[in-house]
Amino acid sequence: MDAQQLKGHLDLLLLATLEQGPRYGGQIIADVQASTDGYFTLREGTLYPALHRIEKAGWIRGEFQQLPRGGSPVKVYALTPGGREELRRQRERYERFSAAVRGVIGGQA
Amino acid sequence: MRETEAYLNRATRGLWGQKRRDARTELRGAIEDKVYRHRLLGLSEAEASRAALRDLGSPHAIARDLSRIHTLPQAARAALLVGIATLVGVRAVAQVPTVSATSSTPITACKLDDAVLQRLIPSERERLRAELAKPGGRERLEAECRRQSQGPNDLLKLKDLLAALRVGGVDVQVLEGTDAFLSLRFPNQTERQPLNINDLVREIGGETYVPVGNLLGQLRYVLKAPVRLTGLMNPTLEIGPTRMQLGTKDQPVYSTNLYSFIVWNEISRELQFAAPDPSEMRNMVYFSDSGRPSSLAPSLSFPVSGTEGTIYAVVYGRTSQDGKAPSFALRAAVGGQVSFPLSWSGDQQPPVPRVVKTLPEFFQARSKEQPVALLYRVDTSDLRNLKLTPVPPVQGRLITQP
Repeated sequence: MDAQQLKGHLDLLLLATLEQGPRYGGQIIADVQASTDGYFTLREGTLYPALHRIEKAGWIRGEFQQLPRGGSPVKVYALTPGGREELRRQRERYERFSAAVRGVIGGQA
Repeated sequence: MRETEAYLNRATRGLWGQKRRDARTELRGAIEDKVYRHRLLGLSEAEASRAALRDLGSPHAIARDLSRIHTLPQAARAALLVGIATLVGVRAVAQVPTVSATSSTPITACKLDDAVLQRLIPSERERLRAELAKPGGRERLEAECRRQSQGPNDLLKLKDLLAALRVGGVDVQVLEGTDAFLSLRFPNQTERQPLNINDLVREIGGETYVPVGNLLGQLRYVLKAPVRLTGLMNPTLEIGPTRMQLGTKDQPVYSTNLYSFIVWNEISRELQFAAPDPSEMRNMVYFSDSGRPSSLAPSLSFPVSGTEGTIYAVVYGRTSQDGKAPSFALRAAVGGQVSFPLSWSGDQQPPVPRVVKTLPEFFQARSKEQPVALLYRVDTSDLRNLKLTPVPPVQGRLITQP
């Protein structure tokens, strides 16, 4: 994988991760790493601006919560109804994209 | 603490008011999370803070991206692409991926009691008694015994293997419905190569493993790319341009044991061809390499001219187990010497096998029940073509103390 592949798909990954339930930044990084077997390791510098961006777009909403271990509160994000709709749209677009690529390169994607 | 606050100020420059406070709190939470994890790994507060801030990267880059998002008009935001290339970490950086291993033989209980001690020659028995008498001696020796009898780590975790191939740029397809019927396409190649190891898999503790000997055996025939192992302990397997480390510190793998499968085939074929009774050759036993000389059995050491790490094979005329089948061992040369384990039973000092030059001499001595051995240098530069070169007869030396 190179970084070019991730460009344009970051929002999709984040929305799909939050579909599993509300998460704060550190959890999102861990979830994406786990579900891709370490293939994607998001850096905080990428993640937080992206989360703020899609929060501004209205697809997710964040609120501060206290963790059991104490310390500073963490901002936990959840999908909004608009976000679910956007996730569906982006999934569809991705399926069409990868089917198109498959059509050219052949083999199983 | 002060470093963190300074970092947070820099990373949120460009924001103001509540937005800035919230962004600072959020990033502070992320940093605390990382510090918490680093501290669990044993770092001090200061070290953990530094590591956490390093992980987060440039505060200026974060400030730039955050302020763009929070101050740009709606339309421009749609065109914003975060510079992902420099900020996303990809797994395959400098490190070679690791494939975990485990052993196919269960750990046997080892009790060093009088019955066992009685079977040793008097000098060995006294030495062991002395060791057992020391504080913690029994535990040490029994752990050593378990380690020796466990058997080599000869199974590789399939999941790790597939991941390592993919990290190396190999397009790995698993035939649907199977665990390990693979189709591989190496980078810079157009054709796919099949590798069916599906019949070899086994489940241990919920994980799927493949026997490494069989895997290497198959890789030899199937692949057009050169296949090589470098290093003795936890060697790096090179298949064409891909690399992976086999084994971990906790479950180490030794290249000598990995070669044994292929070498067994080569040696037994040669022996069967020349043997008066070929059927006896089929039960040839391999002395696996546990990484250390056994403190429970003697070894046989030969002076050799190969460079450090060159692999040598010894073939003994008989094992003590059944007295009939030959046995062999593979070890690496260290400091101009190569040492092999020597199996014996009975209460006499084991005789030093005589190294002979030819197979007829070997079988002649065998038929007279004389202790005899063959010595080979193994060329391991390409697993697809392991060459065994006979070493001229040389006097071996018995070592009873490791």
